[in-house]
Amino acid sequence: MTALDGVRVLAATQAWSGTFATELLALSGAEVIQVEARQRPDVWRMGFDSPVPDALQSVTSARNAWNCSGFYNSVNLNKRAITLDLKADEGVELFRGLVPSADIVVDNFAPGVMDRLGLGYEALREIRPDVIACSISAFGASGPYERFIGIGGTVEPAAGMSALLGYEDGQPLNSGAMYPDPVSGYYGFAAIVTALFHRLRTGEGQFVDVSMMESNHTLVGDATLQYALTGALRPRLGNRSLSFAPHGIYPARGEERWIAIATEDESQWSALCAIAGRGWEDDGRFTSNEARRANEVALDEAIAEWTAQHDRDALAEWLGGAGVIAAPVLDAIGVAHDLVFAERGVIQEVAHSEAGPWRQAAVPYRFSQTPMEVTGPSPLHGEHSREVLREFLGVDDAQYADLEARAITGMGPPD
Amino acid sequence: MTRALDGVSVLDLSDSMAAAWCTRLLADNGADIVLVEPLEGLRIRQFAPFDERERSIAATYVLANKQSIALDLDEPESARVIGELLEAVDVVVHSGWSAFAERGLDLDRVHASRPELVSISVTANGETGPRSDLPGNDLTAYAWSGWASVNGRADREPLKGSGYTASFTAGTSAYGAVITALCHRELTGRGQHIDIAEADSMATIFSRSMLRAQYEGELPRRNSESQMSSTYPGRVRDGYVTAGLNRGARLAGALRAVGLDDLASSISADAPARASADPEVMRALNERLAELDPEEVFDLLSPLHITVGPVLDAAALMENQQMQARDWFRPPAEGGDVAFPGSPFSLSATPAELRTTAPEIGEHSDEALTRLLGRDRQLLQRGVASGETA
Repeated sequence: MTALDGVRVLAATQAWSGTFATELLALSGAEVIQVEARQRPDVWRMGFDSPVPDALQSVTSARNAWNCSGFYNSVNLNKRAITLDLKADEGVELFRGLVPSADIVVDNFAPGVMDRLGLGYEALREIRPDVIACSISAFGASGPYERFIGIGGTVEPAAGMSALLGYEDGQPLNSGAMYPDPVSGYYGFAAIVTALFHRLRTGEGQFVDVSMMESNHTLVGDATLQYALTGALRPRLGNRSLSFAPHGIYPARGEERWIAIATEDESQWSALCAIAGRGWEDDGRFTSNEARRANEVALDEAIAEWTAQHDRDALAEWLGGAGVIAAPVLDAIGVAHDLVFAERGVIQEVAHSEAGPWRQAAVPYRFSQTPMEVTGPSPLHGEHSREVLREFLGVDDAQYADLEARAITGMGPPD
Repeated sequence: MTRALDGVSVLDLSDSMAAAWCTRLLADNGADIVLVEPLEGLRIRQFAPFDERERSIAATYVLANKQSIALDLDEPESARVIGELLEAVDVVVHSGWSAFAERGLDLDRVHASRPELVSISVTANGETGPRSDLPGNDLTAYAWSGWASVNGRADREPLKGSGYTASFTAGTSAYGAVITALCHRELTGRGQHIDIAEADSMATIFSRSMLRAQYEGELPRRNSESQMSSTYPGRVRDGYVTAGLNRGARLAGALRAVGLDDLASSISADAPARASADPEVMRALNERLAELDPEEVFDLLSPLHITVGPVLDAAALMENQQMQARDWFRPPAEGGDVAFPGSPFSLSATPAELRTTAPEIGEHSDEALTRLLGRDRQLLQRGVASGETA
């Protein structure tokens, strides 16, 4: 049994934030139907003209590049995918026809798009009074920026995160992989289940407005509270902590091998000193956390000189076993093949209909009674159009063929 | 005003930024959070920076909207009090059970006798598996999850996000899990236990890099300086800005907006990436944009359907017209004039609310123990609990 058995979600989501929010709903047991258009596939499918990725060239089932995008396939587990041309009245009518069956409707278009399509909250509520409608947008569904669009790479600076991310001596940076998008996905999921809980208790639906700018800012909100309380702006800190030293990422032996090390109390520091055997415990610059913070440049140099002579994983294991905070900096392949993440179900091998079996991020939570399960790979473009329209709207084969011929629905690019 | 979690009671036995953020979100949405801390206060109250009264600002941020009971955990009576609290609440949150197990508290037994209880553990590396005993923090979550490997410059060390970004992400993820379990309980009457690892929550959102690396046979890396110009904040007057000029139509629009109409007419609307654009065109555009400050670039280009990210710091954000129009930075409803960041999401029927700033250690020992257990004075008099008395 899964937690959200029987809950139905209609997802006009694309790219990352909205698709991740609805993937979490799908992993929790909700039935998620994701809507794209034949004319306009999810941007994370990378268009109809991209080549099939290199490592999939030898996979015979990997026929269509738009079904073989590592981006799309990484965040749409357990969903069904249909296409509807929402620029055609008939496509909108079919969408509206699905609404009575939907407990939740989610979009991450720019605010106003659903309204223009006649699918805004008020319109949805007329069809289904207790519907929960969630809009995830760059800046939120009101205010002077309401209609402006954004992506992870532009929200990150606007949300106050880039000003704080970077080396102590360097300029503001964005994260390497659009961090704000999945953060908004976690928040979108959180907001939707909060609204669902309220509906379960009262029968009342509502409109859920997730601003990526606001939701992401909460992750650095302590820095803004610091400014509000003291007038001080937090500088860029590299990997340092405002409380503890050492706290950094240091080179290990070999190329592009790195290890994170921190100590948050004197027993951890003593353990680190004992393992290093460099006499740091007797160095006047390092005898207390306060002294280490004051001499952090020298401390980091000393640690880096030592770690550079050691194997990353062996050193991390040694330090961790002694109670020191330490971890290897895994790369994308390292995470995908990490045995502990696999044991916990975070990483699972999922067989995709075209791309084949690959190891991917799956389940972030371990529930004792309602375990999240991967029940299906990310869907092909329009894969479930026929079955969903038949199941919910009684569209028969002849009607479907007609809709398909006019590219109102179907699979793949329009003919 | 109705809030979504009105009437939900939560016992917070945690002492980590991630778990504290989870319960802060529960509190803002209406749950009653009773925090149990040792007489000297939680460890997170030692986290820098500090305000003028030497209180941890990070702790003020995450402990706001909660009530605090302080207990002398070396007193056997304290374990009995916690045991009774476990019988009285809907949800219990912890960040490691060993200290409670040592005091004879058995969460499994509580679940057996109270099948409706929802409990959640939020730890660095989870409750199972070979890493469960390893200490960790925000830094290790960035390392294990792969995120650090792509943050920063190719010629420098990998980077974590500032402060407690990973921990708050995990706390958000944990909050969603708790509410999911509460929904299930509403449907079936059954509670359960949830095990959340900060590293898991971060690795899950490294999804696209992992799968693409396998499909493409190529590892995502940190960017070199030359690659960074198109994806990272670039210099303009008094700051930095990033802009999505990756399509010809948008690039042409930007060129027209800064008065470079001749150059704009040379750009075909379906031209691909900015990186392949004529470097002379980009230089001319960047020279014009550099005369503006970040928010002026935003105001100029956003109406043209171009994505723009001005690098805003805390001061700029608090003055930002969008944030002000949405009244997002506000002091707690019941006290203080210091504005806190608002709710990460807006619910039309059940808006979240920040009522109170962070409690003093043991501020609610009297009130909360009376309310939940019908006992207080005895404990306070015997020094088991401490705090303000009425």
